Amino acid sequence: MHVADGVLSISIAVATTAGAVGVLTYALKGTNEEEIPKISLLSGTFFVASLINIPIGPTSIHPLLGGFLGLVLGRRAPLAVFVGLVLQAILFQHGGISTFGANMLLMSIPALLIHWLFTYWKSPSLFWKGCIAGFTAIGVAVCLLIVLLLLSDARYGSGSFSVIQIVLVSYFPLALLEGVLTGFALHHLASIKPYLFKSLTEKGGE
Amino acid sequence: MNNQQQVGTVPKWAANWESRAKLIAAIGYIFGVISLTNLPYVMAAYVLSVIVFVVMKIPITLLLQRYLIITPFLLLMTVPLLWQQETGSVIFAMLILLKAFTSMTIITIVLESQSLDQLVNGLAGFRIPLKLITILVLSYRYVFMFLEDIDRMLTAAKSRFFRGGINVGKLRVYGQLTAGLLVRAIERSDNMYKAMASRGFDGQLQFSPPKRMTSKDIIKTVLAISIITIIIVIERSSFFS
Repeated sequence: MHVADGVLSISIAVATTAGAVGVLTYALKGTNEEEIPKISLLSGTFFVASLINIPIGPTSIHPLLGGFLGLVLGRRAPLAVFVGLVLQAILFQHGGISTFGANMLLMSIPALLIHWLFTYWKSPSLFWKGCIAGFTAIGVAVCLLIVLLLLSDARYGSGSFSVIQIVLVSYFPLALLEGVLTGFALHHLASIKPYLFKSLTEKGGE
Repeated sequence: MNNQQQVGTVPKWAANWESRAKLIAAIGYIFGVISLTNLPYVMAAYVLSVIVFVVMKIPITLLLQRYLIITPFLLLMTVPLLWQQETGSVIFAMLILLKAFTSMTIITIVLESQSLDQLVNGLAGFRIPLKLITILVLSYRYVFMFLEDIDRMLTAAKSRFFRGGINVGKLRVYGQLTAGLLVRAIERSDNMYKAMASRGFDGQLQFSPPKRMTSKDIIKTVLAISIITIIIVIERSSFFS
């Protein structure tokens, strides 16, 4: 999701920038020095993994991995989102300056929600946790995007062929694919590094 | 032409513009443009940004390439507006496009008129927590290695006749590739921490102190922000008159 400058109104741009600062502060709080190399390398890896192009007919899509971020990095996920957005801006000129906060929130809030959800809901298998995380993260991000668009200008939602409808139609199949991909990725990662997901499988631990 | 070569061709006044001052000017200008609501004023702000771009001697093809990058998302946001058969909606769509292109012009000016080291030092010079800058710098250094990794993994998959696609079996392979990349990153991060800790790493990289902001830097920044402020004031005054 790369909301470009100009799409959101100035009041939404300012509010989301302030919100993103709050989310980043929350994610950074209590980070110790041992975690920094791990967060850095995982942030870089998530960024690179999200560049994998999956061909569909004449075009291709790429995964967003927001749910996977929440499962692996937990409350530090917004740091990886921040890194990803800055790298996207520097290397590929995607995103925007006034929409940086909005893009940050669109990816960070779903990742944090997934982290909190599976901190308390431990019954699904890892594969299903991945599926739910991948699908839900995109679903929540799309809902947030729609709210931001409608708060910016009601014209995004008006008409029988509205921007909101196009967004919903184009992201729904991506959410399904992302769910399945995240499920397989989580299952594979847990089979190699089971200790990473102790908190997701053991009752009573965070 | 890479970023270093490009920086060499921009005029001295632009290359010497202190990073933080330049970033403040860019952010101020972009937020100013976003706050405009009338097409002629957004057009004026866009034309001014293009004039600065041309004066900086940055290749125009580079700018056009960057417009192309953001165009798909912009089309998603604007094409449905053209179906609403209202003049207001068409103007709204044009406003979105012009604001996005103005912003991209400014971002290109910022990125192409300084090296990435200068940009990162500039960010460190703001009061952004050093831990965050450290994470960003370390990720940036390693991202190219991961790009090579993923390239190798995809080549290996292709050599086994993996053609990509979206059926369950193929999504399983993509999932495994993603997980494989993460496994490597986790293993590297353990070794990296040990190596860094043995060299006295305390959670923050040391950055050289940012260049002092001179009065010339401040004048350039104030000028950029004044221009967009004047456009905003003229727009508001013509709206209320």
